[in-house]
Amino acid sequence: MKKNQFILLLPSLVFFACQPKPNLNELVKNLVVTTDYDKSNGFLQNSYSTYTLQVDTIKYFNYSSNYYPADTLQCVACTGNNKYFDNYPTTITSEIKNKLDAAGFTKVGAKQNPDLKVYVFIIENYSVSQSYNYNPYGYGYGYGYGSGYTSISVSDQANLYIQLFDLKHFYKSKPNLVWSCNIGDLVSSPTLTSLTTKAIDQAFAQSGYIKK
Amino acid sequence: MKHFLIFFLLIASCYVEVNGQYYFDRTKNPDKNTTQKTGRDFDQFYFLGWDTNTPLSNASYISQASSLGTKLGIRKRLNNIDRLWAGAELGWAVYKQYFPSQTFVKGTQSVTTDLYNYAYNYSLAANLDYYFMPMEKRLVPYVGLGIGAAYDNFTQYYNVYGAKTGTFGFLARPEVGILIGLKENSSWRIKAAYHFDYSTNAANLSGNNFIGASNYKNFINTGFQVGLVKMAW
Repeated sequence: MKKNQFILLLPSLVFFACQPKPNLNELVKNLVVTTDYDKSNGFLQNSYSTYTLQVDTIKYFNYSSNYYPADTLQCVACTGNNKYFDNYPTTITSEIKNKLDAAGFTKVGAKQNPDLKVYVFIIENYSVSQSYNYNPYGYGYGYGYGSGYTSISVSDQANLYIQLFDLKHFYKSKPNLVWSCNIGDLVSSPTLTSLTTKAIDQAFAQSGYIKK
Repeated sequence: MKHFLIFFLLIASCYVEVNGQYYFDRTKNPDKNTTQKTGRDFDQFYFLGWDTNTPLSNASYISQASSLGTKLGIRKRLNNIDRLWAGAELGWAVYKQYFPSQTFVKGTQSVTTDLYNYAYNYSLAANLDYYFMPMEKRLVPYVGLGIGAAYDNFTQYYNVYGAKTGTFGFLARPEVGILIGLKENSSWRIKAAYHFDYSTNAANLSGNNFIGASNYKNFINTGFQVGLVKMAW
């Protein structure tokens, strides 16, 4: 093949090797909000009026690093590794409280026999499948690649989980998970606090069955 | 491997046959009804084209036209008539569309996100073109048909997450176009062509991810390409 033919061939090889993707800044301008609920033993069957929520504090699980704090409690009043998120725990737990109060529920102490327990935690650094299968008492994980499969490849990712447990009706001797919410990705979010607040609002908006 | 060797030998023998016929007509039978050439006797050309495409099927996944596409091809003259040219071409196109934030519901699950639907399309076709004028003319209109295979990679991006599905299919691509030279028997020309692509690529996107996806059947699109042609001999 002569030189002139290479003039045509070379740029085309560049094109064929190219697989353009969306701009990351555009991709992360909104968080993904996923909710699920127990259809057979939850808000549709039972009536709840009170809840308990540890305001200003969240759990943080990190599976990766030596640099970041590992499994800790994060709170505003804490120090050192337990203040890694600064005001973030206060902001999001307050927003959750606002939403539950607006839905007609009353916050009570943990020893005041509440109907629901609100469990808020963050998990960082893991791979999660995209099936979003309902999975009480845990979270799904997995990895798939290739034709016909869902695939995810995330090197550093963190999700905020909000879970509502029924303390009145037990499932296999454990409190029943009646609602779960998964918000992500927190690591890539440019304005984490405001986007998380917006995502919590969306989580309750798309879960109209959460009402007294 | 054995089948591949047999297939390769068949293709190679066809190539020898085509060239053999060409040289036979040109050198051993000058009295035959051959085209009188006034300059260089081009018997092949290469082209690289910029391809814009508009999807016609499965608009719920992507309906926007795309200007991200190229075609790289080669044609060789088949016989002394100077009208039939055969060859092959590689095609590449990327379709994309943004969907603002919305809530998708499946059973008890609800997902709210904005998303980007992408379709990466690769094709390889064997082509046969008929040119209505001798190739040394400045304007040479043609019609052609490409038959081959297409591969589509359907990918959805939302936040840092994503899902993708790949699928192969049969491709048929009728085409009508024109080669435009700056002068008679020009070695560099412009190619403009309109093509219609039909491929059998199908994917069950909803099986992997219910976020804004559904079954994808028969990737159909129209496209317009403008490219540069290098004639050779």
